[in-house]
Amino acid sequence: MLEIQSLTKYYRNIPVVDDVSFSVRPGEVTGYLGPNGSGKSTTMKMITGMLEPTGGRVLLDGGDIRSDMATFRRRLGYVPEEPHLYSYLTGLEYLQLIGRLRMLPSAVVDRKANDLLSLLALHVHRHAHISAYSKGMKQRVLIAAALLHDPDVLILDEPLSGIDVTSALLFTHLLAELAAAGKTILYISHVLEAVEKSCAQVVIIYKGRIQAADSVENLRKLMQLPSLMEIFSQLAEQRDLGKAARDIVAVMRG
Amino acid sequence: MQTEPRLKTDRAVNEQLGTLVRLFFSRFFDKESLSPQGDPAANVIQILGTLAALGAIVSILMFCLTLMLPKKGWDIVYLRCLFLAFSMSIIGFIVVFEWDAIFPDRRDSQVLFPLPVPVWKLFLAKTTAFLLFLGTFLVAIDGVVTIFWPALFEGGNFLAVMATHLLVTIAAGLFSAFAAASIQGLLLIVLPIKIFRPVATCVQTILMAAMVMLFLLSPIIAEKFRLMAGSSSGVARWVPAYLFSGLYELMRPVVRSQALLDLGKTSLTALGCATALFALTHIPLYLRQAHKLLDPPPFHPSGPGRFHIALNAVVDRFLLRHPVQEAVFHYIGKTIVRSTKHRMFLAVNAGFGAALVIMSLAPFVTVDYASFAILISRGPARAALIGVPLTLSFVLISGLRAVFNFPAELAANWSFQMTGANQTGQCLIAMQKWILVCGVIPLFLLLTPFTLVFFPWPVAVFQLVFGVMLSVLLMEGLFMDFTRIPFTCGYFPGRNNLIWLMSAYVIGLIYYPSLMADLEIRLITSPLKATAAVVIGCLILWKWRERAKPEESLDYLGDDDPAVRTLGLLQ
Repeated sequence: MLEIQSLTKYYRNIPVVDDVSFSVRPGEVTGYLGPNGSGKSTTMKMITGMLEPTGGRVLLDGGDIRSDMATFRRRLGYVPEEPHLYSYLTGLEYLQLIGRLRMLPSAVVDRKANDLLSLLALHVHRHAHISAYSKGMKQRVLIAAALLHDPDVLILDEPLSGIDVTSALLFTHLLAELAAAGKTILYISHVLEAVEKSCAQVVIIYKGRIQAADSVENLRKLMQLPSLMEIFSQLAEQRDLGKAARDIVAVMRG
Repeated sequence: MQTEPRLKTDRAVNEQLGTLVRLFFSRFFDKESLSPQGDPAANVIQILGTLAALGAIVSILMFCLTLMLPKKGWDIVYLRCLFLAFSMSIIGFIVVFEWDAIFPDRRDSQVLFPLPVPVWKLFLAKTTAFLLFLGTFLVAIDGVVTIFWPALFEGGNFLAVMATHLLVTIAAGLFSAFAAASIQGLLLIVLPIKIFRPVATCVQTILMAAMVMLFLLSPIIAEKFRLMAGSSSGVARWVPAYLFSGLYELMRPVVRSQALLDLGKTSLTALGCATALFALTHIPLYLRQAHKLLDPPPFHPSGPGRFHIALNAVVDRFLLRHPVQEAVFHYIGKTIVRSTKHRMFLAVNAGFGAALVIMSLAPFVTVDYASFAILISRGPARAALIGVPLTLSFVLISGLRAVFNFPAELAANWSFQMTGANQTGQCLIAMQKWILVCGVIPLFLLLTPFTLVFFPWPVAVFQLVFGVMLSVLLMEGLFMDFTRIPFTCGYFPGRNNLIWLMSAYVIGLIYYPSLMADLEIRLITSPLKATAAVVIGCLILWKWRERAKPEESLDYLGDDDPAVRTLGLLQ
């Protein structure tokens, strides 16, 4: 189990993430929701060890990940928010690089990389440079790289960004399969329907603080709202969105 | 009533053209290698300031030279030729460096082609921006010298001397720019589009190295002018700096040499040809390229060939033997081959090394220009010849040390950080193996046939072994505090003490090859001493490697607060 305990990040006395605590259970998908700038990606960076927290800790199976970051990262598969990749490498070369850095034998890396690229509909493009890939294709390369070493923990930060409908549907099934295989999955997405469908529990963060952490069903009952979208609007978005839309059209016409 | 809307439309059309020109002009500076922190405007000022400073330094150096010269006759011709060689090689370098920005690229196609802008307007804006860019650089390079030229170097009517200098340097600069730009156009015409990109990349790299070499060899080129102009071989007609020195003579005679006047007339033909070639190759190609960019890029390349796969398998099996070593070794190779900025940096380094070698051998070389025979006086050249591989290996290793610090893609190093393979030792071993197998050993093997021409084979073999051993020791020394995977640094270099680094580099370059060449000359007289030296060298290396067990973790971020960097708050 992945436990986030009182995780806090301050920058020049401004709280980016403020006392965030929740748990991600194995065999489940936990959704992490929040509007842009709410602190989701900062939380992810602290969980993956790329950012030092100001306070709090992250535990995996009871042990602080900071005490042995290398072991934690060996068990972690991560899809970052932005597809920053070495664009002059081909898709296959990138997976070979990651596989070898994860100390998998070359033969295993080659087999798994080719198989994953085939299954993610990238095999015909495997020798093309990543610079020629669309955003969705880059996301698929990142997903393949995150799965290459059969990780126990998966942190997926906006994995559906730019992905086509077929791949998105495939990804929904993939999440279910991974959860069934006992993986611990933390899933950030703006696609609320996908979160509602895949996640056993959701955590909603707004302005760096947790607003709710429970199953979608319980949240619906608790807040007496019919869908996750409305729950999210209530907790994390106080603006009148209809009015904002009307204002945009007015500006456009003016 | 109808005039007002038409005026508005004309103004909008002009504004559109002006916007495009400004955009394309800024694109010449909007390169990661030029503006790593993403501030092209600041870089324009920095680059132009550097070039103006370079022009000032050149004039000061030339002024110092003239203190020893009587400022008349062939000495003035020498100075003119020297300055023209300097400025032409700089302009040539800049244009070759900016090759990619002369034609529209994928970003243009994505951003501009959906907008209601006709292709002819894009062409016009791009050409105007290119000419503005050229003009700016010509002024930056030649401006300072033009102002001081009449006072420092040539007597006579101040304004007339200045105007002549300005005209000749502009003509020479335009020739250099158009000729360099036309090479790319010619390649596009001659080569099938499939192989154009790799061939153009190779040609661009070689040309950049050549331009750096020519820049550094300018004093030698200028020095040989009188000899070459006087020879009947006609070689002088193929050296652009000589042609435009002839134009200078044509406009403002100082030696009244017929050979120089003929060169001057040829320079006008050459300038006309270069301009025509530029226009002919670029107008149709621009249109072709613009349309081509609308098509999707080739998306199903065939991948590496059989030989490439077999070679990689051999390297993995017999040389690397660890997955992390394999990853880092191949990553270094691919980055150097495919990353433009790293390739450019190494090209500059190669040009620097080649110039140093030519300069060290020049005093011992005599060229018979009639028969093109190169004669090297064997006796005195011995020390210089022995120093050649050592100079080149120093330039190579120190160049790699510098280029490895330059990140390939700033934001992508998370891939290395997240893989958990914090195998510092394996990563550094892979890096050292790459330097040896892909750098040092090929360099020495390439030089061995030349060594065999001048030395008996046992000496050549000793030179190979001793040279490689010294290079390994040098590599250990230069990479002593290097604890990162090449190209994965989280920031661009620049915060380091550049003056200190440059000083150490120059001192190393002066002393290392000469001291080691002296040592080698002493050792080759006695096989016993030679063997003992190799054994001692190997022992030092062994002891060093025993001591240097890298325990610390890999460095990605330097000494800055990683929190601030990762949040992107400093960038």
